[in-house]
Amino acid sequence: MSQWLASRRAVLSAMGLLVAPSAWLVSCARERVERAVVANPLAGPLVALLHKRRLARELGRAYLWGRSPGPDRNELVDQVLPLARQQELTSAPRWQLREAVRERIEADYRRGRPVSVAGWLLSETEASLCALTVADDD
Amino acid sequence: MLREVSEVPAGKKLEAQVCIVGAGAAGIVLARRLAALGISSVLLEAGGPEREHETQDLYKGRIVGASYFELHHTRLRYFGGTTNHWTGWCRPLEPIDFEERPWLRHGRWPITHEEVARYYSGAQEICDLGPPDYSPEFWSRRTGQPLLPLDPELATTSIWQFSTPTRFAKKYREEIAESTHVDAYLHANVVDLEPDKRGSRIEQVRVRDLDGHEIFVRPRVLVLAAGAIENARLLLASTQGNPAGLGNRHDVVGRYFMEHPHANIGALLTTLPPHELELYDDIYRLGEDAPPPAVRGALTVPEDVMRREGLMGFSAALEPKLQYPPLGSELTSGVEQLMRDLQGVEPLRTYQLYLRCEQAPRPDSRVMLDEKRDALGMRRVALDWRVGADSFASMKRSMELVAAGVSRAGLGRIYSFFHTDDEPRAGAWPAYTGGHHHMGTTRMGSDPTVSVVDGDCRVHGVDNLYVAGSSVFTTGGFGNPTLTIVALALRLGDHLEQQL
Repeated sequence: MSQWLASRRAVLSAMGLLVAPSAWLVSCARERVERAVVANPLAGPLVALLHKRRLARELGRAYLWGRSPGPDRNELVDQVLPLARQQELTSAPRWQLREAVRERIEADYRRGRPVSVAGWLLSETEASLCALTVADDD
Repeated sequence: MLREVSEVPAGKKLEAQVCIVGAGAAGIVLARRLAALGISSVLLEAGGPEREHETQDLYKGRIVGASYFELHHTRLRYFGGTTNHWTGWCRPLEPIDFEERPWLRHGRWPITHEEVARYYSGAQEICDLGPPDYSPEFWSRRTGQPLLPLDPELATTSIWQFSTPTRFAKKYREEIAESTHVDAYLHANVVDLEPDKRGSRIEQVRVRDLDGHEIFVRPRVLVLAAGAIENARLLLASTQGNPAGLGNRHDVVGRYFMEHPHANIGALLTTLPPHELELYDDIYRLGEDAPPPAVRGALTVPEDVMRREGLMGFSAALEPKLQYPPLGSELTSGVEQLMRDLQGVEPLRTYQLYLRCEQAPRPDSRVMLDEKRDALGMRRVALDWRVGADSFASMKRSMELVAAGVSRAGLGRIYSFFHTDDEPRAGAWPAYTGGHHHMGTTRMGSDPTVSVVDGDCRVHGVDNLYVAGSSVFTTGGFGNPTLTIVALALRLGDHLEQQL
């Protein structure tokens, strides 16, 4: 009996392992559909970190130039902040959001792969944040 | 002894243990070294004691590749050679320059870094420099100036020492004139190197002044030390035995001409106040009593990163005088604001980034003989300088790494011209040019099909013919060549002592 129970548990565990990723994929797909419709609530607070929107927009346009179609608002938010941290930061104070962005910028530079924004070698996070101001206007 | 070649009776054949062609940095150092070892030499200088229009005219040539300096401006044909307009920048080659670098075709020296490095101390002394230490930490302590706190995984500091600059003619002319081991002749233009029938030994050198007065030198050993363009020209023009030129069985002489591409193609927008950049933004002078009189730091890529990423030598110096047009635009203001908003730092100043880089050796970058002839009847040269996409790609990537290193440390942001797929063009904005550093035309190597001299600087297949100077460089690094020219001349002196 105990042997049967043990093997049953094994079968159920194996099934669980197979089912879990599928469920996760379904949930991701649903999330993606929802995110396409609902703007990421972090977009506004992130753009608000930039005091002179007009200047940031110039950099954003330069970064997006030649990209068609360019990334949408939500994709840009994802480039600025990792998905894993977005939920915790949604209602975070401004200083905490800025700190999180700053960490991302440093990590970008540590990888040694800056992006060129009309010649200025910036982090992808910085460039995406500026591009968000363009998407914000659109 | 120092005298005019016209003082020697026409047609006379001078016997010499060693004959050195050219009294520039390499020739003077070699003659002095040999004299110190008790070996006599005949030192042939094509010019006089001062610059002369007619003599300088012999250096005229044609530019057929990338835009370049006039060939009679980039070299000086009189006693002291090009050290007469040398600006004094000194930096040795690094261990990585002598390593096998798979990303650099034909880039392997046949000698080790150590074989050259042990002569740098002597070279430092000859060039009136300080200790042969180029570590940024040493010079930061010595000057009391801070180093930029760059991320060592991305960027670091490289140091130059500055000679006063030493004017070799002024400093060593008297010594040579009084030496019992050196017979130096002025206006002694070498017009032909005459080998034996087999072409395996130089029998005599034909020497002529502009009035047609001709003599011969019959040396046991001949050393060409006339600069990278003229060394190649002399070999190519000496066609007895081989119409392609002496030592040119494999068509390598004159090829692999290298320069250090110099370019004003970047900028640093920094948060640092000027007093924290004193080691970088100009030549830092230590004072009269503490040689060397000056040092300077620049931004560079660490050697292990170069190895990992397959890069060539690179440096970016900070120049306070800004020349780059796009700066001052809305984009620049945007970057400044970004730094304020996200990092809480205030950008204070913008510096030009002046690049001094290594280029890959390539056979189609070359010195050739032209059809036109000079007043001595010798064919003039044509220079086809080529840098190549691989060298520009290396500069572009190096700029990215340095930018990341600077930005990660919170020191500022960097602007790079390399944001388009266009290569910089020589002589037109955005421009690159050379540094008057002529290298590689008689390159050193163990394979005669891709080199002209062996590890002892001896021309492959010609027993008693040697070359001194930067024409033997297999690769050029990013440091100025004079210090290594002097070190290699000292090394050649020791080798010749063993041979003689």
